[in-house]
Amino acid sequence: MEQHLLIKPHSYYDSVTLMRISQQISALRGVEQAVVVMGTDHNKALLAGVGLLADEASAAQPDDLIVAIQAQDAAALQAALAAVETTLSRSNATSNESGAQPAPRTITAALRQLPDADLAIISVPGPFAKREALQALRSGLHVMLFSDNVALEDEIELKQLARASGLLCMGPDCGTAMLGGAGLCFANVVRRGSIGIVSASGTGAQEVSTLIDRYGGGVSQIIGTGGRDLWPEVGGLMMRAGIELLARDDETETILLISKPPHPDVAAAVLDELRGSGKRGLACFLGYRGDAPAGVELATNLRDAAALAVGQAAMPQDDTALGEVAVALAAQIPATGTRLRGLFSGGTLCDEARLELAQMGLTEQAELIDYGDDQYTVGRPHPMIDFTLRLHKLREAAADPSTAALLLDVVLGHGAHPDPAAALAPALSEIAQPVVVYVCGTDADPQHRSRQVAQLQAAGAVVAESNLEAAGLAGLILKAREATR
Amino acid sequence: MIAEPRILNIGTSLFADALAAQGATVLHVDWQPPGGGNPRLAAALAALERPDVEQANRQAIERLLQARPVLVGMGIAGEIIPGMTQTTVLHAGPPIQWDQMSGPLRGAVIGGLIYEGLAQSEEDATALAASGAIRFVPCHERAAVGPMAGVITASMPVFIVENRAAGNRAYATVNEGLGKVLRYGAYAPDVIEKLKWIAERFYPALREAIERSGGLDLQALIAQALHMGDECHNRNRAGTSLFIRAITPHLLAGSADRETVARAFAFISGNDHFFLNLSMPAMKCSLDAAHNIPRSTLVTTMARNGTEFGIRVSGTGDRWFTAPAQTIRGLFFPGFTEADANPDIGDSAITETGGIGGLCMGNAPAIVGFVGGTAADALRYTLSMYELTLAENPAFTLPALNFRGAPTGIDVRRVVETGILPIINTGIAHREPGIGMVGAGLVHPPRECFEQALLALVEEQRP
Repeated sequence: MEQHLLIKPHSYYDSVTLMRISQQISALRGVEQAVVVMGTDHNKALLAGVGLLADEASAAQPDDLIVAIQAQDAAALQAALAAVETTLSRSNATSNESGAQPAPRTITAALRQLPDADLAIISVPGPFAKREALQALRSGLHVMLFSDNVALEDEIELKQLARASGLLCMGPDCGTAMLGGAGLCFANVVRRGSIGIVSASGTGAQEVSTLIDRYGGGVSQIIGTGGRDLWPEVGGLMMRAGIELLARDDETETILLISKPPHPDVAAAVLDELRGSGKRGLACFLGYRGDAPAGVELATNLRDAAALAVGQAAMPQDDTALGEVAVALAAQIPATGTRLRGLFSGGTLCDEARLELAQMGLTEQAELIDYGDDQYTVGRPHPMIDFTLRLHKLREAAADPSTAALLLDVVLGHGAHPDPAAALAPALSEIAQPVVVYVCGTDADPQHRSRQVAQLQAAGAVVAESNLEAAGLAGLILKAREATR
Repeated sequence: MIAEPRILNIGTSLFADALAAQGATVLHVDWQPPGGGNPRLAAALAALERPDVEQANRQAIERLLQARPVLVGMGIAGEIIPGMTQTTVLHAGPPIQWDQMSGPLRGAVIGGLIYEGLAQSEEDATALAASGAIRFVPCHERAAVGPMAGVITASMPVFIVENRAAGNRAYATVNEGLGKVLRYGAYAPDVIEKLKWIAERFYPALREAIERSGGLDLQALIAQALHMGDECHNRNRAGTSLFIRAITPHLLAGSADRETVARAFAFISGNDHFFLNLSMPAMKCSLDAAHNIPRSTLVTTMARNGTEFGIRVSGTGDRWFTAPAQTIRGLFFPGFTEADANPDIGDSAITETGGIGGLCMGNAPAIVGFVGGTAADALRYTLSMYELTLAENPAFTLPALNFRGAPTGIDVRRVVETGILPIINTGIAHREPGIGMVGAGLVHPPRECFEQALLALVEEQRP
């Protein structure tokens, strides 16, 4: 066994790039372990955990790159080190395709190269995010702040500055937006149209926009706000800014708001703003029990929000047809199976499913986890990009005799995994229990939804038409099983 | 509403790739954690992103860019440099005492004391230097600059460069040429003899010529030299040639005898670095005009004494921020290796501080091989310097970059933020006294200097 540790001082790479490199190197023949990380305390703890933390690595600084490789023999080690160099230099090259001009390191320098830039996407680690966002806003750029772990008071400061400057500060923790037809961060390729969305939830916006597309409508803009925007402390600053912007947008005829239930005062303010926008107003605050002012329609779930937005009536669940499917699937449940296990990558999709199952009286039997939650993403990419953790948990759940059925979401679009069905299929085909999958996306997405669905079905999954339907179907399977007991 | 967003992507390149795949206009920023990921530095950077800092920097950079350095004359150091006494020895870099000095600086001090007649031998000079009777003062604190050891003693002739915009002056000795020279720490009798010739014969003739000329516009000479393949720090061949052209009629028309004039020409034309001792005070008087502006984060001094590298910043006045001097990456003369090299030394980094030298390396393809790398590397060095600087100098332009202005005015904040350090073109001195130059290469200042300065700037901001 050969072990090697390489420290490259002052060589920062983002965690997604490094995770990709670690995976590529680990997959090489003869490589037992490969960890390519920045020298943060957290990463050093990870290295110690896998027995690869040597003294040199302990002394590394947060902007030092640590390459730790364990290989079966010297040749494999050499090959792995060479591969690390190649992939690192390639990831440098992509950021510098313009020849002699080096990639800018700061917003100030970037603005010299692209002086008419109008938007900044910021996905740097949380503690550094505020400063970048401040610089961007002060330079007159709208901000899409993907970073999480930004303090609430900093969010308020940034959003107040944005408001005062007539700019958007989408986020922190904002994963989805679409402006002028460009999908930002995680976004699906949907038809252009007249429905403008302001959403405190990333996957909520993805679900509604893809369903709008499927129901024949189109989307003008999607403005994300980040999950805390409707907290009383922030007071819906960006949701209100988004409504104002869409009210002035000629392309937009309908304004649709998506969120978890806001604080009543914030809800009142936001809905009031929506009513006064002069456009058709629609809101989906998942789990919200309050009223809407006259002239504003409320949808109780994401599917109905999409349907109402395109002018269709909210659809009652077609329980008869689904019921038949459920009865057939219930037969696959093992004798000991009593629990439904949901493994989500979309937080709002998970919430919506939880609400639906609660309405069916199945709260006790359903254990739904959002693996996109902060506690699962420390030191690793989002589960929409990287299926490692979910695959592990999926196999674990399937091996648990108490598991009756499984429920999964698969989110497509820009920024997501290039071929989720291929990543999931081997695991799915081994699972005995019924697996209900929902694929959030369109055929225009890089992953092509129909092809993904076909692959998943071929691997034995049942694919639902909406997240709501997936949850409903999973619930019905459980109920069908209980009825036969 | 945004019709077609033009996007900067700061962070993971994945999002830039996704946007590029959609055909959107996106520029990826190769972001690095500011301050190397140190939260205290990141907080300091955030505290210094303020309008009053920007305002102070605008004022500082305006003074730097408006400076008009003109060579107006020459004089004797002890008579014209403020605060100079018979027992004062000016030296390069931040303050340092005898027991801390490196070999070449000690050698130059020994040579300087012998030159002044204060000591007769190396032993005498060493004892005197250690006795406490000699006052060691940085050149930079007396409006002067000195290459390598930078030793200036009272009876040495110095150039007087005046910044016609602000009226302040800067001083530098006459460059002695290559080989065994005082500035590289050599002090053998022939070194002293050459210094005597400079003082007794060369100085009166050249001083008269400069005065007859009515002053030589150094800004114009530097601008032309930059177009002729110099960067005015490690390559001064064009600048020296231009100087000869400008001074010739005045030297010939003066009262010096024919033999002195002939030897003066031979001396100047035999020394490609003659112009360095003019480009340095030109930058010094330009930067001094931008010094001492409260809140400004402009770097006004970068200098090394062979032991430590030190910087000064406009907004923190005369405080030095120092760290151990670095070893230089470069090429060595035959017979010498890196083991012979003294750590970085000299005030000549004033050229980089003023926006020429290493910052204009893209202009000087001829020296690129000497300092390692290709012409494309040299351009990349220069391009990366724009990340650190507050302005582009319209007076100093770069033909290879379509006459873009030289990156000018290093901002402490940008250095700490980007982790990019200024690039300095420099000579390498032997680590032992008395030997001289052994090579040339590239060096960076230690990043600690900039980090300390940044924290001090935040302190100064507090009421």
